[in-house]
Amino acid sequence: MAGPGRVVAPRWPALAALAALPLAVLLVFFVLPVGAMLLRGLAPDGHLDLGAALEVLGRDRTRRVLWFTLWSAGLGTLLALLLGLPAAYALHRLAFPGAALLRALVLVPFVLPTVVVGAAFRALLGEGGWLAFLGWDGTPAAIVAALVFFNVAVVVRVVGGAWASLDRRAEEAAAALGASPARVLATVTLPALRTAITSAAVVVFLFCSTAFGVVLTLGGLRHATVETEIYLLTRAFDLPAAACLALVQVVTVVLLLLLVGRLRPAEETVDRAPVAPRGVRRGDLPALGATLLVAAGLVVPMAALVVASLQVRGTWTLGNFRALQQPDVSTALVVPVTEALRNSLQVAVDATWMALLLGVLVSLVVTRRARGRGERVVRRVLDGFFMLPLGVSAVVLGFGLLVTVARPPLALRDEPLLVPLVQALVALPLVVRTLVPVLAGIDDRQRQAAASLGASPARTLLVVDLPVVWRPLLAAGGFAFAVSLGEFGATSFLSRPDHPTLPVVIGRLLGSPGQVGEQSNAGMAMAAAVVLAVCVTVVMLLVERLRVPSLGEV
Amino acid sequence: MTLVLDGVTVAYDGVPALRDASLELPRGEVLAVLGPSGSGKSTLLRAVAGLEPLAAGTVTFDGADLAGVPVHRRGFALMFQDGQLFGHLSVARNVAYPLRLPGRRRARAATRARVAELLELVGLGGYADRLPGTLSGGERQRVALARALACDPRLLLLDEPLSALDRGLRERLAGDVRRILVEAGTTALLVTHDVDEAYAVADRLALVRDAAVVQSGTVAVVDAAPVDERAARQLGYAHVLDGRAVRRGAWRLAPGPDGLEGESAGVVRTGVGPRLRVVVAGTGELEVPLAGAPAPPVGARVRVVPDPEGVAYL
Repeated sequence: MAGPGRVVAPRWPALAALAALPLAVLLVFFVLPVGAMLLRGLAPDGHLDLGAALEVLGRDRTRRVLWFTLWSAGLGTLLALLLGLPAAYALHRLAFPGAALLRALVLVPFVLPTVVVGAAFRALLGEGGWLAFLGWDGTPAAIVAALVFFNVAVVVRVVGGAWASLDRRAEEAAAALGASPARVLATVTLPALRTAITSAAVVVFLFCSTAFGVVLTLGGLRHATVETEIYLLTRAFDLPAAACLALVQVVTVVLLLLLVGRLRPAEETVDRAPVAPRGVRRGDLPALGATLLVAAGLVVPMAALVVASLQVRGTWTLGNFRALQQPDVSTALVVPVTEALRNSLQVAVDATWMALLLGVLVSLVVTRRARGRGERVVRRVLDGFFMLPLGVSAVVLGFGLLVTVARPPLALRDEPLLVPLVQALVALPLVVRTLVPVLAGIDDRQRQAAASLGASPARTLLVVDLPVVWRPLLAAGGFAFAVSLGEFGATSFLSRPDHPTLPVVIGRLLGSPGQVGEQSNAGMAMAAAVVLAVCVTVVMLLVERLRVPSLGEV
Repeated sequence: MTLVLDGVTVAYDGVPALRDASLELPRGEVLAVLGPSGSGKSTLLRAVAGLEPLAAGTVTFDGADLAGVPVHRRGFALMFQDGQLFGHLSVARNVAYPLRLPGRRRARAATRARVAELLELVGLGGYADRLPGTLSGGERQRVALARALACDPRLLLLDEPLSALDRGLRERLAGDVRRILVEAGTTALLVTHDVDEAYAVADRLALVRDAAVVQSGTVAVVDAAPVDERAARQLGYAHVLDGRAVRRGAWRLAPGPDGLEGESAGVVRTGVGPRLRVVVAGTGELEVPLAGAPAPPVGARVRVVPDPEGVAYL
């Protein structure tokens, strides 16, 4: 057998078989709706009309929206890096009491539903909140703070994972040569982490610039980003404008993803032996301080949320929670919260198995070592293709689905599996990015050894891949479940009015500032957000218990 | 004495990895710390470098206690098994790394000249613009050595510098390292599990096992008189019998009635010539160089004596 390739002989048919299902799903439920949405805006009468699109770009409001998106996402990325890097170091290189707990804590916001975070920052900064004196409520500051809140977790995971397995001896060699700690950091450590830091920055920027739930709940109509603007424009049926903005977004996202792809080395050759964390020394105190700041920044808004949910007009009560069970209290509440929660869980279960099925297939396609140049190119293109849902606006996707698959001839609107399927697509990049580093890390010679001993390809998968992959697989399932529980952008378009999920209920409550007697919609939103946050946190803590080393580079 | 370790103890989570180690290393000499993996020899090196805090004891250099002196202020240089070159820097920039640090910075031309000189010294002139990823293992180690020498270290610490290389390269490079260290007049501490590497490079030897230094002294002294059987085996002696340690193949056929009696088990060809295998009851199988003598038939009774060149006395 020549070359280090896999032992299975027919390669193209195997590749096609693995890629067929995910490709088909992605084409029908992602490319088709997004394409239709773009087409509808850019060529309303069947022929391309770029004039209308260009006119949209010339609008004052559009320019404001673009500029706001750019600077809020840029600032959010910068702050997330500034806070996240020291925290990544402290949490992945140092051993100190509570480190494991903090690692889990930092992970939670990563999948905390956007509407929950929106509610938490409203509780913190709004009227009667602990930080109301800052006057940040409804200002860009609140939006940027919430973006940082979310994305510090991404920086800590992505960079921390790389940092944890960075051989300490290069730094020691530099120190012995006479480099001071600061110099070692600047000339050895950070350059070695460059790839991880840049990927983290790009991904965070992507997340920040496409944030939906947070901006909508905190910015309302005044501070719109491209994403929320698309939402508002589709609601107003200004489709050319919406499509134009969606196109700008898609192009930006594709460019950024290509950038990330270029940064990733073609073949992972880095030694990924985890390095044992060491005790805290005096020089580590600034990093520990930053970590505590991050932890406080994560805990305080959530605490404010819990407190707000337990108060009605300054008195402690469970009224908000009780009211959630009575749909007649508020017009924004269509079903009792327990039913919404049941809907959410049901959808999440379906979304999870779909995301895992697709994710496993995609991961296998992407990680098998390519033998020829052509095959390598095909695999990398597929890799990038399956990452698309990461950045394409969930709003565009949701609306696109509404105008394509939900209509005849497909008419899947009432299909109970439509919402889970879309959520699975949203979670797919996360699942793939959890599995790929693990699968890629398996030495192909192990598979060759198994095959040479007479194991069939299926058996090889069972004895070589499965023992390594099952924990990350469970973790990926957990991520998918949590993402599905909190998904708001696409679901807000697709869920049937009488069948809302919990985030949709929260969004509705937050979006309609009403008051029925003592009971405010805002208070009920806080209570519902607490219920949702508890569910997601439980799932995430279970995932963290699996101790999957890192999320890998997104 | 330049480097002195006195009663050095290092513990990881309360478990001692090195106990009460005392050593001395005069200026300009090379000390090899020889021990199996997990014996504590790397811990000893890391303690000297300042990478591990001491639980007890002192490390002094030129009479000054190094306690509290951070790694980068000790003026030592450290070279690891796999070089640990900075992958994002070219060979020249790797070697120039210590020369560009604040306090050591000099004119650009001077730096370039020094780098060229060092690369020449390690036999890699013309490699300046290569990236570490494109070098072979041996070349990488040479660059690492040049980089370590660039800062004119008071003491060079080498952690298994040649162990990752294949045998032929290792032997060649060991000779080179010795030459380079002597030419540069560098005081060096080498940690290794390979006795040949130790002999090829060092003036002095310290044997480490089970987290303790069991013997130290000049190579000649330690080699001629290992403290006990395990020390002898660490030094590569294959047989130990009544107070004597004998190297593999260091036997001769005895003309008279002296020596050990055994039974010929035929001739084997080895990399250093044909050897007669002799089975001696209680000692095992010995290899006896024939040196042109006719081989006794299989099963014949023969007598062998140790070759004095390959014998040490415990």
